[in-house]
Amino acid sequence: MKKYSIAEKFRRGIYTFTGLAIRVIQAVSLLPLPFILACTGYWALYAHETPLSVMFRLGMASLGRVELFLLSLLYRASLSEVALFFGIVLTALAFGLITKRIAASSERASHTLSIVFAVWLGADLVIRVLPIGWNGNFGTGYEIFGFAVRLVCFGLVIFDLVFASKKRETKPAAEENASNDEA
Amino acid sequence: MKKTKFTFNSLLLIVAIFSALVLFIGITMVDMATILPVEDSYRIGDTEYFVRYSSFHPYGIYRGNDQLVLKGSYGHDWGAALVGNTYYCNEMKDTDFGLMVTDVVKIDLTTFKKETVLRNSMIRGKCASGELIIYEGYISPTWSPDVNPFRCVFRVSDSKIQEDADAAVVSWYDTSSDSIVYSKTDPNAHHNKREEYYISRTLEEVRGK
Repeated sequence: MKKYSIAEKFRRGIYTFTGLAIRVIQAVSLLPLPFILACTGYWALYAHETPLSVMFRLGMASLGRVELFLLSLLYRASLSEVALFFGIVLTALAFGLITKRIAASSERASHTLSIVFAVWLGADLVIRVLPIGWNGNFGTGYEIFGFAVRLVCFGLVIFDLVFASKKRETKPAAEENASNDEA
Repeated sequence: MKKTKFTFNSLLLIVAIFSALVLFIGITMVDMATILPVEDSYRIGDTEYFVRYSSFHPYGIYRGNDQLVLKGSYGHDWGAALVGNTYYCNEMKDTDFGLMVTDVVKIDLTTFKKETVLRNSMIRGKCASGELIIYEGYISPTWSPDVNPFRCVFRVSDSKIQEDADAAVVSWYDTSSDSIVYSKTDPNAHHNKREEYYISRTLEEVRGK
């Protein structure tokens, strides 16, 4: 199997910027988890500002607004931090598996996924700037971080849609070779 | 031999499985909220019923000493009131980590039917004109609301919980009409002096100001 550098993999479309954005969102979703795990061992941790609670706020502020709202409902309904923990993990996992399956099915489905993803990220960015009380819930600094993460992901997806996919279209042969090499 | 690729999704799956072990073992083996043994009973008005907190029996309302009639953690102080045959009180609920949230409930002491009056709220007392003073969207001080990040998550889907930990929506609840007769948002509701102020004055005095 021929080995390519990461940049070359992006150029050949083996890696896509949409895929990268999905991984970034999955990764930041995991930030709240160590705090919840740590609280299991020492519950009074929630009464202090610690690096873990900072991570928790950063991660929570980076979650999609709709996802955060649903997780909050889950937390209120179940009164369980364990449910909150698994809500976060399983959402990230489901998101990764579903998008991977769609992206792998066909080029057209992958393109549609990028469009849907871009619309979703754009809507999320708009919701974040609406004057809703809980939009600044985790503190301004954390919310700016969350907004920046989403904005970067939005930029990656748009870049993929506008430039990268067009570039790949011009090199179908190279793409085919690359996928043959992967197989 | 098939070569398996380690992906980010595999990592997530491993995190989910292993953390399940840590979380469930950690929480069920050491219930931090109930490590201190308690055994207290408080009579509800002049009735034969008691609110009981016990490490050895289920929390709840008991007839006499040992006949449990309604299970649950109910408040006996902080403005719990017996009006006729209806007991208005706070129902306390623990989360997995022993954090406490409360609902205001009314319990019919004949049928023992419980009805939630307001969720995530707490009765703080009775004002001079007899209405119950309820703090809506209340988070107990044990939550350390200023720094507790779980409170932020809780607040996302409950608009009544104020951004400032000291603020609350204060409501006057008339037990005769079973309705809220007046509400106001107070940015200093959780200061001790404010509670004294509300309890010592009639609704008209507060409303008129």
